[in-house]
Amino acid sequence: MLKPTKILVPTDFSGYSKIALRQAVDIAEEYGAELHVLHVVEMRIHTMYEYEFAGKEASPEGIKDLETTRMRIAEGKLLEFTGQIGKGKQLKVFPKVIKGEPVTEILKYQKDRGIDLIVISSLGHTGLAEYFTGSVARNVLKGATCPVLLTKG
Amino acid sequence: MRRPAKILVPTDFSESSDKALKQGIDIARQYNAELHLFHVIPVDLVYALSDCSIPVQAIEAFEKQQVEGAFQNMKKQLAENPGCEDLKISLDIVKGVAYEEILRQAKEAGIDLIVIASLGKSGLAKYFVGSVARNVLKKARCPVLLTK
Repeated sequence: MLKPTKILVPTDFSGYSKIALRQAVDIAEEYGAELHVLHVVEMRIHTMYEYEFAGKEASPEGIKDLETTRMRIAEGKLLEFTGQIGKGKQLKVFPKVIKGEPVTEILKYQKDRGIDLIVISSLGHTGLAEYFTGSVARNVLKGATCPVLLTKG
Repeated sequence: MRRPAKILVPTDFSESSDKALKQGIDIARQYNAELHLFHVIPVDLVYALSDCSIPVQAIEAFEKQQVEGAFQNMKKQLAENPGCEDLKISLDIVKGVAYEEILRQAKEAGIDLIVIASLGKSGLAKYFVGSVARNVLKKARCPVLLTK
């Protein structure tokens, strides 16, 4: 920072990431900063099983199709998510869906785009759930080269 | 937060806490918020002293000196940031375990944003969050800004 110009909000579309989004919108408005909203689609081995479960034989083309479909769905969800920001706000919003491993892609995006503030949500502090979502937030807090604002659910 | 009104900056007078303070001052100015500068004197040193049959008066004098020293350090750290005279700043020094006292202060003073450096005095590596910051991030009820 000191005054943020490009703010990144990684989202998994959860209620907790909505809190982070609201906070980031407020900060972006206050400082006139760009707002980048990122969702990472995780492709795992089970993608292949999903495919076979649907009664199709797994093939490189089939997997690719499935990946494309999942990317499209995610893009739709992201637009819906950023739609919450509401119109009439003088904000530059950049929604982006990337395929890969969440922490790696978030950190890569931060460096590549010159993001100077990440706003990310933790689950707050009850129960096991804390340790569960924690992993992405924790690794972003650790690996980011810019300040990170951790919001509480 | 969403618009912070009371900002807590814990300091151990390290270089990284200088950065956190700069950031905290900047945000306080932007939002016209109060700035609470906070230092925790570790207790283990006092315990170690009290084990070696040193007179109570000497320990008390030492503690007093520690608090006075911390106060001077705080003023010095603030003085490095010119132009913060117009801000509402409070200085607090307590004795205890750093993260516990930070969390307590945040709760008691109704803090709505903590700005903390990822590494304090015992900083080793780049990709590492210090234990104080880690515990504050984990347990604070308000948003925490981790500076690098």
